[in-house]
Amino acid sequence: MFRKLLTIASQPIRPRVSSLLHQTRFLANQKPAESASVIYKPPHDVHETDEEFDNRYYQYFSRPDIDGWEIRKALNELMGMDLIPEPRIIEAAFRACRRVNDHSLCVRYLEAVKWKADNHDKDIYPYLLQELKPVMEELGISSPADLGYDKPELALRNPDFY
Amino acid sequence: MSIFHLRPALQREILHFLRSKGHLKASTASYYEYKDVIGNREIVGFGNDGQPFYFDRLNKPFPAIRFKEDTSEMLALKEKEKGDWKLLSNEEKKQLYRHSYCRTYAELTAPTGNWKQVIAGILGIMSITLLVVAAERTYIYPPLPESMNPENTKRFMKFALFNRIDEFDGYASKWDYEKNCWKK
Repeated sequence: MFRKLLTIASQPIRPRVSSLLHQTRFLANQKPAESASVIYKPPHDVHETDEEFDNRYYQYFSRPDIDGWEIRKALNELMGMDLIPEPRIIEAAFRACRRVNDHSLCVRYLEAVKWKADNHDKDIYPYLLQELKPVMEELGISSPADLGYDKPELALRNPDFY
Repeated sequence: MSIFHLRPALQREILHFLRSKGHLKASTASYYEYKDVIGNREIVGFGNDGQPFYFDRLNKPFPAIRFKEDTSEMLALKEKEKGDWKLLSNEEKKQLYRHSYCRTYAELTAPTGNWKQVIAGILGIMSITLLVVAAERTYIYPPLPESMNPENTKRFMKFALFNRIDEFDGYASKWDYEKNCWKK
């Protein structure tokens, strides 16, 4: 206890300034972190090329221990971006779906990509199908058209309105 | 900035930590909290906002939960799905699809015919308004004043032209007094 009091007494008396000023001074005196120990960069500082983006998603889907939560999250995020992913990314996603044993994920994503691409350009989806044909044949994935999902199959009243 | 900007290994570490500590309630669905609402349906993903509810959104193809509950037949089919997908028939694939999702994109984007109801509603409201106006004219308002007859209107026009009333905007401005005809 006395030692603690002594240490307090030995310290110079700091003037009480506003905490905000303290914080700014603290921040100003900080050294920039080393590149190896940086755990994140804010998104506005990241200048990612298209190739790096593709590789990132390709590696994400190629991870052997990926689970369904991660696949869905990434595919939902890809749907929210202003792009249609490269065929090799979709291929990696399909292989990930194979690893988590969910066939309908592939069908649903193909439908979603068709909806998104057709709003923009009708040629994109046939090109994707042509590029993905080897994987789909290898894994036994049916396209939405094979299952008859290119046309409405069942009718449902919108539960919000009735 | 979210943890999804971190590298994946760190993401997983943080997620596992938070899940174990019971934080991150908004984004990691707890089965027991929503059991009354979603029943025994399996929570499979993040969905739209992390809440474990089913909704078919066109821009978010993968909802947080499956559409149907697991039955014994479905579990058998899922066991079969773990094998080669070429052995699955189209019917079984469709069954699996409908187990996870309610409506296909073709069904979601199919025209509903709702525009007919909208137009019918608009026309109905307009016709009711017209009926009300007609009823007011016949039963409530007094007849129009005599000066609004066609005959009396013409008389006023002559009067206005003769006396050059309202030379800039009215009837007199349209009349050419030199040639004695309407201006062209």
